[in-house]
Parts: sequence; structure tokens; C-alpha cells
Amino acid sequence: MEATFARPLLEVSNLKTVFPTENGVVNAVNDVSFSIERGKTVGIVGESGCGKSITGLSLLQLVPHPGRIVNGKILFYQDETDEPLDIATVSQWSKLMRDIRGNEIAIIFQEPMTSLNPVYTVGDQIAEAIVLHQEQNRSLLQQFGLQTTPKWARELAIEMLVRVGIPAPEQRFNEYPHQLSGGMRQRVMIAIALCCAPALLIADEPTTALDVTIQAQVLALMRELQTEIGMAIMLITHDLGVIADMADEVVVMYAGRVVEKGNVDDIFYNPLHPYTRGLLNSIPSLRGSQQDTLPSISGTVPHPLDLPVGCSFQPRCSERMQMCEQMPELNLINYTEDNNLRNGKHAARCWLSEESVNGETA
Amino acid sequence: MAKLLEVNDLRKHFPIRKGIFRRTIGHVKAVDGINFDVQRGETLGLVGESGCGKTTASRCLLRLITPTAGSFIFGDERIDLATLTPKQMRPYRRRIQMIFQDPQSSLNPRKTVGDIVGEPIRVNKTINKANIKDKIVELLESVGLTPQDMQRYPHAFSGGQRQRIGIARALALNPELIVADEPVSALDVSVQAQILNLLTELREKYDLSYIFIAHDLSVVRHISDRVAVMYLGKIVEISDANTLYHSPKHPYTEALISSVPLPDPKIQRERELIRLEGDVPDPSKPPSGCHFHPRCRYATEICKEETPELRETVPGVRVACHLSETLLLQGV
Repeated sequence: MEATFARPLLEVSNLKTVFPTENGVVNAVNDVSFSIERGKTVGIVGESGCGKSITGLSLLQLVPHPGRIVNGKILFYQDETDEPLDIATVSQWSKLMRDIRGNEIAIIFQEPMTSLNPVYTVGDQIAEAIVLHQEQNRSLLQQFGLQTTPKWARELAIEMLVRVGIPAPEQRFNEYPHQLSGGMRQRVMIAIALCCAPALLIADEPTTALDVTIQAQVLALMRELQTEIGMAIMLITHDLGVIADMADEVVVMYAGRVVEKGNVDDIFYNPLHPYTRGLLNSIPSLRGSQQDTLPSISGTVPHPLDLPVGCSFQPRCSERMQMCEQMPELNLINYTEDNNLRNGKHAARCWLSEESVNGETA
Repeated sequence: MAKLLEVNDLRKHFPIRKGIFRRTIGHVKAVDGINFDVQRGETLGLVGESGCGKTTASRCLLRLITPTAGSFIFGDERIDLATLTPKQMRPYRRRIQMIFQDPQSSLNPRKTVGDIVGEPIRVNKTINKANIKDKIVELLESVGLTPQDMQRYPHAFSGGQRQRIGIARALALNPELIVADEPVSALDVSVQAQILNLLTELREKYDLSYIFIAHDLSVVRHISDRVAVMYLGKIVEISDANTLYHSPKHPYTEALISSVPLPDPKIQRERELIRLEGDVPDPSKPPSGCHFHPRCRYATEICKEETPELRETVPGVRVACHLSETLLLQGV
């Protein structure tokens, strides 16, 4: 891939989201930086509690109370020329933020049953999103509520149902969420998210609640619509298989921080952080011969209020040394000259990262 | 190897009732005539999508629900567990234990870990009262917890550790067979690997057999000697784990394996993926003939009319497909 100097769609730098609790302040997202290119997919991986979902919610100013963004920038470049908008400074309740949500950045969640309203038909819920995001219709909607789903919105909603591959869309339009299967519900969620053709779709564990065959369908659908609309996807998941399947860039998070990021091939074939390596090794393989024991990472994820000194991964790390008691920076990896272009973005937060590269590529 | 358990034609049909007289208007055939056996020291994996009946089948085995029909011949004495009264069943319950999916809801939050793990022993009086504590300590140590953990409550533990407590409880009565229903699906990848290793280790140490139920195909492959694939209440294929994944013989198995994204971007890009259309049909109205035929890309006329029997096509491989011999299916 050649390097382009075009601006990314979204640039997150030094984002810090905290949750003040009775027992102390939890740094759910700590000094996180990454960028999302137009039309590309960025995968955010990590185990539960690593801050990946809060990162996603931060981008939409949807961090639940009492959490708040205390530092960093979320620069959103609406188009190539404009001044970027710093979402981190926009008020959660402002009209500007409401206009961004759905129109520019949409989100889908893991459990479609809890995100859909059980007392409205799925068709009305798609139509609501369509009407709500067309400025001129908003007053109409406020006046009459949803009973007045206009004919054009209905038609558009049915068209969306067709696009997300729901059979018999006319009939499905009038059905309630409980009448649909899990995969169908997730398709409806995607339809709602995509009806305004957003520039960025944040997908938070979109297929975790689905069976594998349905997961394959939904992922394929997301990829199809991505090419069609040209949107970027931020895919939050713990499943490295899904990441390998979908992502162009990968960000690995641990205990609120980015521990490694880079091109998908770099992460999978040349992982530098011991945590990334541990994660990749601990997935049982579907191919090759059966192993007796799986390599596993010892211990558990540290409590967010009781993080270890220095590198958060240090107590579980097999390559721990004295130096690890200081927090390493997220270092960009200096590859040899000719490799530099492809690997320009590979970075790891580990004291050993430089060494292991020089050892590997020499 | 001796057979530990032989399941013959197990069926569980749940009635669908309607109207003020609760008239039965149909049945959901959650498990519809499955046959398999478990050898001593073996792990049998049971995979399938949600609603395929894998959990119902396991609950029947433990007699947590009464099967509609079928027999399970258990142990050297070859007792049919399906016909026993609850009272007669009691001594056998000791020998078959269960590990649940969600360690959060399967552990009593008001009891200490010592109480939870010791309860089966106290109820069954298998050990002298004075020795119970030592036994609990031994159990906790064998699953990687410390004796001090006895006094703590489940909420003080992480998900992986809670699952260890659940495993210790299952081991308390020295069972011969453990039914593990999705034991690692609620856990993170790194912890999942620890628990899988623990289960493998315990199998050797205590000479256990497992029926391991999961929807994650790679986990099942890792731990199982043989794997049975279920679809809509029936076993569609059962064979040695390596064979099943390398050369599946049933189109559903092929599609299932193909749907799993491999954690390897290059292979994933080059892989030819078979995508199944549609959803699993409503189990109260299963399709005629082979239940899989509406989603099967190889289906022919015969598939719509005749239900295929589970038959041995290659030694060690049993498959329920009319076309199995003629198809060349791809594995991984």
C-alpha cells in the first residue's frame, strides 16, 4: 500500500477517560492514540476491562456517568479541507454532538435485543432514525410522534432492510424485535446505523452474541456495505479471528493503554509486545496438529484501581526485567530503510520492542 | 478402552401448549434421536449453533430433565439411567458431575468457597466429617487456588477463578464423567487457555471422561478426542477430532468450519468461504427430509424427502448425509 498524505478521518491523541469512584479514580482509557483512515477498518482488541468499549463510547461522547474525558483530542475531519472538529471538547448534550451521532459516526452494540426498543416495530425504528436525521422533518416528528412515519421514510426503511439482506422486508417492517432471530436483529441494528450513510461505524462486539455461521453472514454484510458507502469501521472485539478477517489496522489494548498497534500483518506475523504474543498463542488452533497444552498467560488482568508499577503487564510477563518497573513509551518501531514504508506505523509499548525487531529483521 | 456411557436414541420433545385448556398443539423436538458413546478417559466434544439441542441433551444425561425416550447405559454395571426413579438415580449422580457456563450464577453468593466446594461431600457423606476440610484444601489446590481462598466469597474472585471453584465442586465426589456446558465461553482468551489446560491436566490426574459442550469450534477441537456436530436436535456427524476438521463429511460441518475466522490474516484473505444462507429453522417446524437441506448447497431431491440415517461411511466416521460418499468437502 502506498503512503498517501491525505488526512485521516479521525485522529485520537492522548485520549484519557476516567471514572471517579468511591475508592479512587479508574483510568479506563489512558493516553490512547490512534487514527482511522477513510474507508478502512481499525480493529481494537483486548480482554474485558481493557478500555476498548469506553474508547468507542468516548468517540461519540457517550461515556456513561460518572465517566468523563479529561484529556486528549478526538479530531474528526469531516471532509478533506475543513478544520477538524475536536469531539473531546464538544458537550455531550449539544445539538452539534447529536448531529454527529448517527449522521457522521454511528455505533452498533453487542446485544441487539437490548439496543432495540421492544414496543416499536423494527420498521418504525429504522424509519425513526431516517426521519430524525433529516433536519427538515424533525419538527414534524416532534409534533406527531412516530405514528406519522411518512411514506418516503417507510420506503427508505424497507430499502435498508433489503440492503442488509432481510428476506420479506415488507412483512418484517411490521414485526417487533422479539419476532426476529439474533442475526436478523443485528442486521436491523446495522440498517439503523447505516441509514444515514455515516463516515464511521463503531461496531462494539457486533458478532459476539451470534453463532459462527451467522457471524460470517454479518461480517460479510458489513464488508459489503463498507465498500458501498465507503465508510470506515472501528471494530471492537476480543476475537482475534474476526480481527484477522476484517481489520486493516489493529490496536491492542491492555489495562486502559495501547500496548501495540500497527498494520494487521505486522501484528499477526511480527507481534512485538509479549501480551500480543501471549494472546495470539493462547488461541486454540483450528489447523495443524492438536497441542497438548495451550501456551497461556499466567495470572489475571489487574484490578483497575490497583495497577502494577510501571508496565501494567509486567507481573504476568514472561520476559520481565528490572526496567519494566518504569512505564515504557509507545515506541514507533524503526525498521530497516526499505521496510520503513510498510511498517511505518508499527508501535509497541515495551522495552524489548526495539531489540526484538533488530533481532528479527537482521 | 471401555465404554463409560452409551446413549441410544435419546429424545426430548417439549410440548407446545396453547389455549385455555393448554392443549398440546405440537412439539419442539429439541433432541430427536441421538446416539453416541463415551469411552473411559475420553473427551467427547459436542458442537452446534444455539438451539441445536446440545444443552438439552446434556441435561437429559444428568436427569436434570426427564428424557422423552431413549436409554443411557452407564458404567461397568451397564445400568440404564433413563429409567431410574429419582431415588434410584442418587448414587449415580455422584459419578456424573457438571460444570456450568456462567460461574457467576452457578455459585451461591452467600456461601464461602469452602462451603460451596464442600457441600456435595456433606450432602453425600462420602467422607468422614473430620476429613472434609483436608479434602477441600486438596481440591482447591488441584484447581490452582490456595487454602486461604476457602474463607472468601465468590464475588471476590475473577471469572477464571470462579470457574476454577466450579471445577473443584464438580471434582468433589470423584466423578467418572464430567459434563461441561460451555465452560470457557464466558472467559477471556488468556484465561480460557488456563482453564482448558487445567481441564486437560485434571483428566489425566483423576482419570476423568468429559462431555464438552461448546459453540467455539477451535476450543472443542483443542480439548476433544472425538467431536459430534449437532443440527436441529440430531447428530449430523461424529468422528475423531482431527478427521472432522481436516476432512468433514457433512456439508453442515464444512460450512461451520468455514465460518470460523482464523486468526491469520493471509490465510483468511485467501480462504474460499462457504457462507450459509438464512437462519437455523424453527425447531417446532423442522424442514422435511434432511433438516439441513434448505441451507445446503449440495441438496438434491432425495434430501427433501428422506431423512438420512447416521451411518458409518468411513471407519470411525459416522455421518447423516445421503450424499456423503460423492461429496468432496473442504476442511481446514
